[in-house]
Amino acid sequence: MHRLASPQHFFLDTKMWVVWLYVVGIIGLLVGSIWGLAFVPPERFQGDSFRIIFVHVPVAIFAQIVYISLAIAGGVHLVWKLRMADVYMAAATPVGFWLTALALGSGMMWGIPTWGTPWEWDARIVSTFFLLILFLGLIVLRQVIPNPARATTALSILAIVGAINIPIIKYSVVWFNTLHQPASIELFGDISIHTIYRIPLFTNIASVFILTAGIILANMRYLTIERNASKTWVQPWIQGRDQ
Amino acid sequence: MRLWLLYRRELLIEIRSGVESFIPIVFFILVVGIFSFVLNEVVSNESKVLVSVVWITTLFTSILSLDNLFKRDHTDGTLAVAVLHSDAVIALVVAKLFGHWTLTGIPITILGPLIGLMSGMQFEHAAMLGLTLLIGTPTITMLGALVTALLVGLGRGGELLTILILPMYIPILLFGMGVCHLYIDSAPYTSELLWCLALLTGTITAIPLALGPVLKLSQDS
Amino acid sequence: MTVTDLHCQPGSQELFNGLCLSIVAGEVCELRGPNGCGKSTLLRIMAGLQQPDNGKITRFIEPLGYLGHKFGVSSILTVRENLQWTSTLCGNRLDSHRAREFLEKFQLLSAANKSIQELSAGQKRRCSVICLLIGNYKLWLLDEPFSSLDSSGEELVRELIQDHCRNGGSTVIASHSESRFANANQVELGIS
Repeated sequence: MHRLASPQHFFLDTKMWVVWLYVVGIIGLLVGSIWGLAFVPPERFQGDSFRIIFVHVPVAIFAQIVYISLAIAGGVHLVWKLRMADVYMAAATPVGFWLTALALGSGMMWGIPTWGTPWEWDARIVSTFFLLILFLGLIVLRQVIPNPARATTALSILAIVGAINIPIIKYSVVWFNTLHQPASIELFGDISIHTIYRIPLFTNIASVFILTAGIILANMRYLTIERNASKTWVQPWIQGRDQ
Repeated sequence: MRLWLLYRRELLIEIRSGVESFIPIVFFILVVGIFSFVLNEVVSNESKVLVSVVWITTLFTSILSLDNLFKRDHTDGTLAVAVLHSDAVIALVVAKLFGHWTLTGIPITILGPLIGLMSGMQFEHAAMLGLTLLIGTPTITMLGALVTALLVGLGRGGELLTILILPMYIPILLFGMGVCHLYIDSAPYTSELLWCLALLTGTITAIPLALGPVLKLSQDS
Repeated sequence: MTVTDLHCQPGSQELFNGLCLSIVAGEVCELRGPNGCGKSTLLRIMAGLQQPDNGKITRFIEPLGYLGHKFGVSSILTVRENLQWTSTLCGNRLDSHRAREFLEKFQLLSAANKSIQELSAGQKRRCSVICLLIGNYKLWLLDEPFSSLDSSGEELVRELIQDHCRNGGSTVIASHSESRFANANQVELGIS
C-alpha cells in the first residue's frame, strides 16, 4: 500500500489493473443486463417496465458510495495531506456526477409507467437531486480555484459538510413529506425481490462497482501523469503518446 | 473587550459604506411583499404560505448579503494581516459573523413576523415565525460564511455561491418552516424545534473554529 | 526564523528549488531579482500566506508583520481606527501617545481622522507602515515597502528599518531597485 502512495509506483503498477477491471466490468455488465432484460420473466405488477431496476439500482447505490468515498478521501487529505487522496477526489468527482445523473434519469424513466409521474418530492429523489447539485458544486469549485492545493482543501471541506448534510436532508424530507402528504411511494414495501431477479441484479451491481473502479483508476492514472509532467520518469510515457 | 472592539469595527464598516449594507434587507421586504401580494388571491391558507415565503426569502437574502462578508477585507489586504494573527483570528471571525447577523439576521427576525401581522396573520403564529427565524438566521449565517470563505478572492460571487450553498440550507429551511406549519395546524412540534436547535448548536460551535484555517488558505492563490 | 530546502513550482515554471535561508535577530535581508522571479511568493510563503510545494519553515516568533502589495488597511475606516484595529489584533490597547508620535513623524496627524480612501497612495503606505510599528512585531516581511513613497518617506522608512534591526528586530525586504542597506544580507533570486 505504501508503494502505491507514490505517484510513480502507482502509475507503473496499476496499468494492468485498469485493463482487467474494464474487461471484467464490461463482460459482467453485458451478462447481467442481457440476462435481466431478455431472460427474466416479467414482473407480476409492473410488467416489463421493472427491468430498468437492473440499471437503476446499481447506479444509484454507487452514486452514494462514490460520494461517501469522496468525503473520506477529503478527511484523509485534511488529516494526512496524502497526495493520492487529492488525485482520487479529482478522478472520482465526475464519475460520481454521471452516476448520480444516470440514477436520477433512470429513476424518472421508471417513474412514468409505475407512478404515473417522472418526479415526486419523496425523500430518496430529493436527496439524490441534491447529491447531484453537490457533485456539480465540487466540479465547479475545482474549476474556479486555480491553485490545486487550495482547491483540494476547499473540496474536502465541502465534501465532508455535504456528507453530513445528505442524511439530514433525507430525514428532513421524510419528515416534511409525512407532514404534508401521506407517503404514497414505497418502492419495495410489498414487493420482495425474487431470487430469479436477484442474480442478474447482483451481477450488475458487482459489474458497475468493478467498472466504476476501473474508470476512476484510469482517471487517476491520467491525472498522475498530468500533474507530474515535468518529472523525468514521466517523459517516456508522454513521448510515447505523442508518437 | 477585544471581541467588542472587533465587533464595533465590523458594524462601523457596514454603516459607513451606506445604503449598500441595507440592500439585502430592502430586497427581503420587497420579495416578501411581492409574493404575498401575488399569492393573496390564489391561496386559501394564507399564513402557511406566508411563513414559507418568508423562510425562502430569508435564504435568498442571505446569499445576497454573504457576497460582501469577506470580500472587502480581502480587497484591501486586511484579511491577510488578520489571518497572520493566529490567536486573534477566531475573535475576528466571531465578531464578523455576529456583525453580519446583526445587520441581516436581526432585521429579518423582526421584519418577517411584522409583515406577517400586517397581512393578517394571528399574533401567536407570527411569534412562532419570529422564534424559528431567531434560531434559523444564525445557522444560515454560519453555513453561508463557511462556503463564502471557500470562495474568497476568486472573483466569482453570487451565482457560484447559490449552487454551493442552497443544498446546505435545505435542512434548516424544512425544519424551521415545518415548525411554523405544525404550530399553525396545532400539531405537536417539539421534536422539530429541537432539530432546529441542534442545527444551530452544531454550526455555531464547529464553523467559527473551521473558518480561521479556511480563511488562511484563501490567501493562497 | 529558518527556511529549509524550499521548493515552489506554481504551474509549470519552477520558481525555486532547494532554497535555504535563515534570518537572525538584527538582520536585514534583501531579496532581489527581476520581476517574476518569486520575491513576493517567497515572502508570502515565509509569512505563511502561501504553502510551498516542499520544504520546511520554522518560525520562532509569531505573529510577524507582513506588508504586501495591498496596503492592509481598511479603506472605509479612518487612519486612527485602523491603528486601533491593528493593536486590537495584537491583543493590546492603542497607546495614543505612541500613535500620535508616529502620526506626527509620518506627517499624517492632520489626516488622522480622514478615511483611508481619501488619502493618496503614498499616505496609505505611510499608514500601513505605522500599523507595522503599532503591532510591535519582531520580524518584518516587507514587499516593496518603498513603492509610492516620496523621497522623504523613503528615507524615513529606511531609518525605521535600521532602528528596528538595531533593537534586535529583523527585516526581510523584497525589492527590485538597488540596495539601500550597506550591511544587508543580499539574496539574489533568478529565473531558472
